[in-house]
This record gives sequence, C-alpha cells and structure tokens, in this order.
Amino acid sequence: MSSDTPQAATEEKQKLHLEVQIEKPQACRRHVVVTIPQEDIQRYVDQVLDELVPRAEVPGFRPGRAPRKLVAARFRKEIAQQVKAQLLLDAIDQVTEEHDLVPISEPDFDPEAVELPQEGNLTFEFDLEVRPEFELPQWKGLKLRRPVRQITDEEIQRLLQRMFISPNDLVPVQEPAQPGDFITADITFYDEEERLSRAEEELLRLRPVLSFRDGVLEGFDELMKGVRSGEERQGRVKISAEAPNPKYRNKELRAVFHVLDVRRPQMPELTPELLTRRFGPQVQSEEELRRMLRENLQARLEYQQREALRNQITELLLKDAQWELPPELLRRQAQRELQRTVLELRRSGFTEAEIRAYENRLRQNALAETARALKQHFILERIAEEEGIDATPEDYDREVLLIAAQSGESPRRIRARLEKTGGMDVLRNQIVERKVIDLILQHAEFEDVPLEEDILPEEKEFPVLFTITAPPGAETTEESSEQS
Amino acid sequence: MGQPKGQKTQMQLEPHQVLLRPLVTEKGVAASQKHNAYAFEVNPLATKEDIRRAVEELFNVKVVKVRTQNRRGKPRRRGFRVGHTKQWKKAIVTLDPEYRIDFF
Repeated sequence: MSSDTPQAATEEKQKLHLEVQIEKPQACRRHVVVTIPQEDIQRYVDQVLDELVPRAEVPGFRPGRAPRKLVAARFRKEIAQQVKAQLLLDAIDQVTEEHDLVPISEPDFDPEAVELPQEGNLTFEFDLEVRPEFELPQWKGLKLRRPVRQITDEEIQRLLQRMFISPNDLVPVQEPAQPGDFITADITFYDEEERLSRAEEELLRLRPVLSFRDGVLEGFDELMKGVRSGEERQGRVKISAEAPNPKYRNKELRAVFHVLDVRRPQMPELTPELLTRRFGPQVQSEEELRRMLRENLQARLEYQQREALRNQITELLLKDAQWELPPELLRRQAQRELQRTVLELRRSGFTEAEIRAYENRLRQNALAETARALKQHFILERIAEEEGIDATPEDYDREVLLIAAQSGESPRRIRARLEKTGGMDVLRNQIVERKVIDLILQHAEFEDVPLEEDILPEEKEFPVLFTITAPPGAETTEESSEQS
Repeated sequence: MGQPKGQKTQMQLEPHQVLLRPLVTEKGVAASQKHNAYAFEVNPLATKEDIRRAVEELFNVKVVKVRTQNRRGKPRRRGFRVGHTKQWKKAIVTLDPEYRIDFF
C-alpha cells in the first residue's frame, strides 16, 4: 500500500489535457469553457479508488478486502463527487496558469450544477474576474514632493484638550449653546409631512457637519448656535446617493431637533490617579502623557506624509490608466477597501470617533473612491509581482503587534478577529502595497516642502451611527448608539 | 424448528422466486474466482433442479453443479423475549468454465 503514495503523487503532477475556450465580454471578465477528456477523468477516478480501496468497508468483507470493482460500484456517488471537486479545482488552476489569467475573485460558478458524466468528456463553464491588462507606467525615478514639519507644543495641548472631552467630562449649562458644545436631542426625520424615523436622546456635538450613516447635515453648528434646552430647531439633511432606500436617495429631508439639554466640555484636573485610570500604570504624570501624545502625533504625521506621498504616486501612476472596471467588482471591492482604510487608520492611532466619521463619509461615495483605489491596487500589485515582493509571516506578526499596541487588545485576539472577518487578506494587500510604495520611494526623487495642512484639524464632522432611511419594506429602524 | 426439510410445494417456482439475492461476500468472491462457483440465497422451498434452471435462465449460463445448505436462524434475545432470526437456504452454483457471472 505504501507504494501507492509516490505513484499517486507523480500522477497528480501530470497535467490535464484540457480544451479551453476563453471569451472576453468585458475588460475584467472572462467567460471560460473547459472540456476535460475522459482519459483524465478515468485517471482521477483511479487515483481516488487507489486511496479508497485499501480502507473501504463493505458488508460481507473485512475492511480493505472488497474487490475494486465492487468498491467502485458501491461508492459511485462519493467517488464522483470527490473526482469532480478535484478535477474542477485542478482544471481551473491549470487554466488560469496556462492562459495567464490573474483572477481577483473566486470563479463565479456552481460546482453543484456540474455533473460528472458516466462516460465521455466533461464540459463546464465559468466566469472569472481577472486583473485588467494594462501597460505598467514608469515608476522608477518619480519626482515627488515630501511634506515635512515638526510637532509643536501647541498641537499637543490641543490634542490633550480633545482627549479629555468625553461624555463623562461634560457639564450641563443653562447658557445658549456655542460651537463645540454638546447637546442631547431627539431627532425626528420627515419627508415633507410624512414621518420617517426618529432617534432618541442622541448626544450630538456642534460641528459644521453632522453625518449620519446615509446622509449629512451641513452647517449644523450654525443651525444650533444659541439653542437652549427645551427649544426646537429644524434643518435639512441631504441623503446620500447610496442610501438603503432608493426612494430617498439624493433627496433632502427635514430633521427636527428637540433639544433636551446643553452640555459643555470641561477639562478635568490632571491628577496622577486620573491619568493612571485613563491610560494605564505607565502614565503617572502630565509630562509622560505629553510625551505619549507627541509619539501619537508623530505617528499621525507619518501617516499623513505617507498618504500625501501615496496620493502623489497614485496620481502619477493613474495618469494613463483609463481602463474600465466592472460595477459588481467595484461594489464588492468597496467593502474591502473600507476595511483596509479602517485598519490603516486604527494602526496609525486615530480615535474610534474619527475613524467612524471617516467611515461614514467613505460609505457615501464609496464607489468613485473604490475605482481609484482599485486601479492603484492593480498597479502596485503588478509592480510587486514583477519585483517579487510578497508578505512574509514576520510581516504579519509585526502588523498584528502594531495594531494590538495601538488598540490595547491582545495580539492573539486581534489575529483571531482578522482571520475570522477575512481581514488577513486585507492585511496582506496592505503589507505588499506598503512595500511597493517603499520601493517606489527608494527610486524616487524628493523635494521637501513644508506641510501646510493642519495635522490636528478641528473636527468638522460629528458622526452619528444612525440610518435615517430604512430599506424598502423594512420597519423604520430606531437604533441609536452612544458616542464616546 | 419448522425446518422445511422435506417440505415441498406443488407450485412451479419462477426463476425470480427461486433466487432471492446473490451473496456478495469475501468468501463468495474468492470461490467465484477460484472455482467459478457463485453463492445465492434461495427460496427454502426450491430444489437443486429449480436452482439450476433459475440460474441458467436468469444469467444465461450453463450450470455444472448445485450444492445447497439450509442455514438455521441464529438465536436472538431482546430483554425477556427470546427468538431467532429466520432460517434460510444457501446455494453454491458451479458453472461451466466457459461461463461467468459478472457482478461478483
């Protein structure tokens, strides 16, 4: 029996004699028709039988003693299923390899629908999304402008203040509200006179923009300026083009805010106890906290620098990329892209609220952004391939540790969560892209320019995790969640 | 015992009433390969002649020899209920070397 194994291994390497037809309905789509000849099918059946016969249990026989023919007849269904699965897998692998297709998603076909014929050839077809073909732009020797600057004490002070603004440190005031204050309000949404949904006791901050999952209210701080508890104000919410309910997309809805109270953030005294409670035992004094904040800001600055360079690189690389992408691909990718961005932001030490604000905004114009990001991804991936860049296990470990350090969770838990949600793929892309960007940067020419952008921009937006328009047919959702 | 030994029937059994099922076992398969002999479970009322005719008719072969055995039921007990499995008849049919039955 042991002599079977090496033989099976050599047979497995033997290629299939496939007949392949490939059609190109779209730039990124391939329709593939594959025919597998009967000899190949028979070879696979024999392989499976070789494995099965020595341990088959058939009534009337001791295990493994049943004749081959009998086993083949008795386990016909199981064998067919196994052979089919292996054949399809190997055939698809071979097709993509031989015909230089680079798939970017699972092939779109139903293995259940394919039936292994008793006799004759097996023909099946499937659709595949492949990486578009394009000319790789010149990426060596790009001329880039690198933004540089130092972190100032004033910025640390501002960050410090911002950090201590939390619902716990708010003081109710009787005075009229000013920009930057918090209000608690019940919000009711109307389309003309029809009441759509209602969010109760939402804690809102007076910022220029109030964003919901599926819409934004511009000029919120102006709208609410001077409001007192008990008063009511009305504003108009612009629903995004990707809201769950198509009826309200791009529409303006009326939002009525009934203000319950006005609260003002207050900076608490920074006693060692408070610091330790908030930041753990390693932070004992204000001094140490400031040092920590400086590091945090430095990480953000590096992120911004990277983003700026990355944007420039994208700009330069995408100049000639005029190829089209299929919309289904875009939609699916939009979700992944969102995950990637969130991961990146978390790694760079942004707060959950900031990340959520960004997420809300991204969700609203996800498709356009995705198309851009996707093209960029394809170009970087191509460069990675040509330069032989890939993510190593150490890279994964380092990334996981970094995220763990930033979010304060254990690396094991982070890794488990990533693996569960398919985040490892996202992480891989991220690592590879970062490496390629590093490579591009190595070959680029730099010109230092001062970074004018404020590293700590006053938060323009206050995110509320509330969906105004329920999908058609669903009950109006009245969920609301606490802001931190 | 209710042994059908000596029991006879006036009815002419049809071939499909005679042969109940082939006995596909390790022993049976070995015998079929070595001696061209095939085992069947048969109707306890069938005679060797009946069996010979049935096999020849159903499988289109030439039978050389038929041997039969009456198998007693095995005792079975479930709680206080004592019983036994049914008795049955086994036939080993040797074929002319020119013929074979395929599904063994």
